[in-house]
Amino acid sequence: MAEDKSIKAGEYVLGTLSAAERAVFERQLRRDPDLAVAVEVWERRLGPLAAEVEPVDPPADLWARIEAATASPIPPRAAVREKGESLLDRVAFWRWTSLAAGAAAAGLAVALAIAIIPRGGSPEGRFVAALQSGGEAPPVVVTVDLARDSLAVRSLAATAPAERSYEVWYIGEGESPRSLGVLDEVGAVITASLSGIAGFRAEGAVFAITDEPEGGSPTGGPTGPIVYSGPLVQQSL
Amino acid sequence: MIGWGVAFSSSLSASASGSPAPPLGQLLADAARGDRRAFQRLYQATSAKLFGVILRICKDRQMSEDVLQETFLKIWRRAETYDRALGEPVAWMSVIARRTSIDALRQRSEPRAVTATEDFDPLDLVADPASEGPDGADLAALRKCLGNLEEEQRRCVLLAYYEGFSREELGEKFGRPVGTIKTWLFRGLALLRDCLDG
Repeated sequence: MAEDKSIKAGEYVLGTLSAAERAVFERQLRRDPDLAVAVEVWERRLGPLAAEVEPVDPPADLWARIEAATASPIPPRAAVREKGESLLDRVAFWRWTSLAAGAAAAGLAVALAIAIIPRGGSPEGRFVAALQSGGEAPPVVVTVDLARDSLAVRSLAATAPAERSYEVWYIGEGESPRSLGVLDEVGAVITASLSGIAGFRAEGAVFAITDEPEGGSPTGGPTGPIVYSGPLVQQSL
Repeated sequence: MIGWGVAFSSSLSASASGSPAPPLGQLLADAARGDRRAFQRLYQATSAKLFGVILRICKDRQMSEDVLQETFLKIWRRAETYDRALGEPVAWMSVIARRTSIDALRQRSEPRAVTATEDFDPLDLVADPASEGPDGADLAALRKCLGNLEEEQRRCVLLAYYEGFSREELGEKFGRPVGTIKTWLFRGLALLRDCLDG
């Protein structure tokens, strides 16, 4: 690993990077497994220091707050991505739905994410065409392959504005949006295993892309307007 | 690769009282299956430790409480991603606590006064002979390697780790330009890495 990369990982763990640098670093982290390992190794190198800190009793009522916050009808689940969840999820979801309603009313949301669920066959032999007026490429294609336990989000024509990020969300029926990562430029692809998205259900699933600060939403839930969205539909053979 | 987290077990046992608590790894595994009672016991066993870490970084009491709450919500949601290979449970939880603290701190718009915790010399923590014991092998190695750093490099690393100082805050504290701090951190971390891995 390049010297700079290793030290940058050390600075990330130490916490000396600015908010903007942290966001950019975390974006790289999601794309670069070597960098993720470097961070983990730094956590281990410096971890013994944390053990030296004197315990301080938190206020007695804090447990009640935490218990109330976890008493959601949704069971605990693994994070899809580091940024995919936060205590603001529920709040963000409601804000998100009102944003969606507002955007639809104003005719702003371009609902053009295409999703297919191929069953069987080799991926090489699989094609999809999403038709749009004016002969333009559809901005984003989401493919879900249940047999292969895989999901891919590909940008064909969507590019985030400068210093902004397009964040992709999976929204299970009746659930809060969960981040799948950021998709900033044409050609960018996000891949994930379906089993890594706890409780993933194709039925009723919706995908949406929101305009977020560079590196992704700072809260873990959508904060910006919806740029693209679309439901997951089963490919009929 | 160096091991980690062993020192946590000894510092935690003091806070456990009453009936013998199940190991933290078991509580975490039970919490991952949605066992709220196990999650509560996990909180009882570790919240003071994590609050200590968070308070030292955030300083502000209200902010620290919010960060502790967010930390435990993350632990609840991510419990099933915990893997023994990631280290001791409390070390894994401390990583979440520190990261959540730093994120909260860096997202604040207003600058804070760069005062370290009262009477706090980070060197005391790592130089405390009382912390040396059968469990302190990782810390002993770290302390030895920290000893190879220049004084300023070592203080920068420790103030950042324990007190959440940014480069700018370190620059203010030492009365040096941020570029100098960057160099100190770069050299300090490189020396530390080479010493610990060597």
